[in-house]
Amino acid sequence: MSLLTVEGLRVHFGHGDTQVQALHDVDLTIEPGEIVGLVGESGSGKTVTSLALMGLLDPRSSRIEGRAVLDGKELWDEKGERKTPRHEIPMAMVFQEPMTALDPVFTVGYQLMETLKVRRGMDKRAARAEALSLLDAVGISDPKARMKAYPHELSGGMRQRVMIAIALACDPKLLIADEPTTAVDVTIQAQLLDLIKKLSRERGMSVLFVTHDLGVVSETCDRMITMYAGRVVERGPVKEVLAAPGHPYTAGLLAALPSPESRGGRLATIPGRVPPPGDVVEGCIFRPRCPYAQDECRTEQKLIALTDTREVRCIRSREIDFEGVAS
Amino acid sequence: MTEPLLSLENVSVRFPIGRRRHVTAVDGVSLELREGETLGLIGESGSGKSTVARAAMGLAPIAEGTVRWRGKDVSTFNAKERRAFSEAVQMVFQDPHSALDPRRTILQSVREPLDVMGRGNKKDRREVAAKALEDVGLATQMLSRYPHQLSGGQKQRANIARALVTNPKVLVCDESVAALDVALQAEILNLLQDLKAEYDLTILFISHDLSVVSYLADRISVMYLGNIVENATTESLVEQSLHPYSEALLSAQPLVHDSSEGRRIVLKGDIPSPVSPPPGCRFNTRCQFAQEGCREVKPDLVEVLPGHASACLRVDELYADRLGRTVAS
Ligand SMILES: Nc1ncnc2c1ncn2[C@@H]1O[C@H](COP(=O)(O)OP(=O)(O)O)[C@@H](O)[C@H]1O
Ligand SMILES: Nc1ncnc2c1ncn2[C@@H]1O[C@H](COP(=O)(O)OP(=O)(O)O)[C@@H](O)[C@H]1O
Ligand code: SF4
Ligand code: SF4
Ligand SMILES: [Mg+2]
Ligand SMILES: [Mg+2]
Repeated sequence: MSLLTVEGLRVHFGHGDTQVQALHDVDLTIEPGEIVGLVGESGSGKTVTSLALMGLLDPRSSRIEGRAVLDGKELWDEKGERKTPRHEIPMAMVFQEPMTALDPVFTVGYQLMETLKVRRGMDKRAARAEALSLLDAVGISDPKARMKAYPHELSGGMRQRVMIAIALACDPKLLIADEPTTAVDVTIQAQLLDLIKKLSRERGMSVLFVTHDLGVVSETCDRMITMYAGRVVERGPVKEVLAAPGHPYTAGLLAALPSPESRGGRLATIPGRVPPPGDVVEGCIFRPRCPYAQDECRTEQKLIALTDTREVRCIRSREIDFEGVAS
Repeated sequence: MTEPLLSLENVSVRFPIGRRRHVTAVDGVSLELREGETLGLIGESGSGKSTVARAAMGLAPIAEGTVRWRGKDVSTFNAKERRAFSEAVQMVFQDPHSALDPRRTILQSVREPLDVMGRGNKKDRREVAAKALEDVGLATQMLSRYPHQLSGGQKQRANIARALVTNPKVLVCDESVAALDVALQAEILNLLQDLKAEYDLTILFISHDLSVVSYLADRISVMYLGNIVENATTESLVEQSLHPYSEALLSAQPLVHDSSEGRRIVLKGDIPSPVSPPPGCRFNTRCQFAQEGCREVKPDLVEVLPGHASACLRVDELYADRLGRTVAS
């Protein structure tokens, strides 16, 4: 059984006439221990998807529809309201900028121990011991000393490790990591990617890894999902998708990547922008930017199976020769 | 060989931090920008890249060393020379938002450097600014817009236009595409190449992203804690790096079509603080090849292959194969 099953997830922002839909029937499954990459340009809906699953969207300004089941528990009811108390849902999230999630006035140790008390019902002693072991697990040297540190006293990479430790304090079966390495150097990114892979392997923990970086996806994830304008437009095993993308958008993202080999040549671009929620696009959502668009693309596209393991939201996928992309 | 357009000779930049303490952000850096080339500068954040850029533009407090423009020491410039120099070297910043005044139209912002210089009459200045905006691909109707009405990519184009109005020889791009999505990044990189040809530009391109730098640059300098540790043509650096830090940086770059398994060197820990850098080779605290001597002697940047310099005490021995040498043991 899948650890996470999401069916027809929709998110609306605002009310009445100004209401806009940010997610359109997002389907998603994650198996136990699997690392799934969620990719797309900024504004594609990756963070909204993550926040919706975490129950972190403000119910006063947003509305959720659809169904999500994690580890056998329904995340919300028909009205989109939380069904299961948060501490019973084995899910945690780390963000791009740990400073937004860490409280600057409390020490690392305090924040970690509070999480353990609230989420795992530990007493002070047990929480302290567990906090030390979690800091050790995320590769922080001298955990005892670090317990007393305030977030601003730590480097960006260290803070991200602390964030991961706090996430682990919830004993998650699913970790949602939203661009966790976007703000750090490649050297630190390499450390964090290794850490996340190691934790996933050792704990059998699944990860929804949100990133705009296809290199990171290639090195970290088992499967990937390309999102565009609040919709899933492609999904499949990472190696297969990156070797031969099935959707023009995934292909475009790949072709735009610079490398030493492409030096001197022009880079492929994807003209135009991701349409914001509320923009009306007739037919295929990617049509205004798609170099392969034809008349048949004027109808709204459904996710169709390409192989047993791959799906695309493009009627022309099989006919298109993405020349020069799959190098 | 022709004289470099802009050069740094043994330049050190120190900033005061608190009472009687200093941080040496740039430590004895030498660098040559040759006319028509694109020189890439890479390194982790805090390594001193932006400070090198500011030093090259005459905007950083130079503690030691010399910055030369067309062979002449810029510290000896008279007012007229100084002005010509500052017009000739222009910067494109990372953050497209902060460099544009929110209360001014795009045209006004782009025209501003010319207004400050008081060059020509207002109509001429307007024409120069409008031409620059056209060259960066912003449509005429954008001229009267305000920054908040532009997308991130359009703002970065406006920034580039602003850097172009003085008809510079050198463009210093400091993380100019770092904040952009890959598709937009590709557009701006294409644009920079077009402008380079059209305006005969020489470019100092600073980025922490090796794939971007290796795509654009002819030569690359690698910085670590205020020092340049390796200097080579892009090809030579990417294919046969001769420094353990560059190798680690290269190997940390996640690649789409190349598995990192077995290739990756994961550096331990963070870059140390430049306030109290490690003695000897500054990389010794994180280098997998560090030996006793590396903590005592600071390596010089030495040309070990034609056009390829490395600052590593063990370069002959670690890279004997790449250097085509046999090691005397
Ligand atoms: N609270 C909100 N209210 C209205 N629109 C929102 C809100 N949060 C996100 N959006 C919009 O939803 C779209 C998807 O955003 P997001 O999920 O953050 O994209 P990504 O993480 O892929 O960059 C964007 O157009 C964004 O502006
Ligand atoms: N104005 C300043 N005052 C004090 N320290 C500075 C100043 N500018 C830069 N530094 C320090 O110098 C070092 C190099 O910074 P910088 O040149 O910005 O590096 P990079 O651009 O490679 O990230 C850093 O440690 C930074 O904190
Ligand atoms: S359906 Fe048509 S417009 Fe849409 S992605 Fe496929 S080819 Fe492009
Ligand atoms: S001098 Fe020593 S510490 Fe420095 S890079 Fe070379 S081997 Fe490493
Ligand atoms: Mg996001
Ligand atoms: Mg910088």
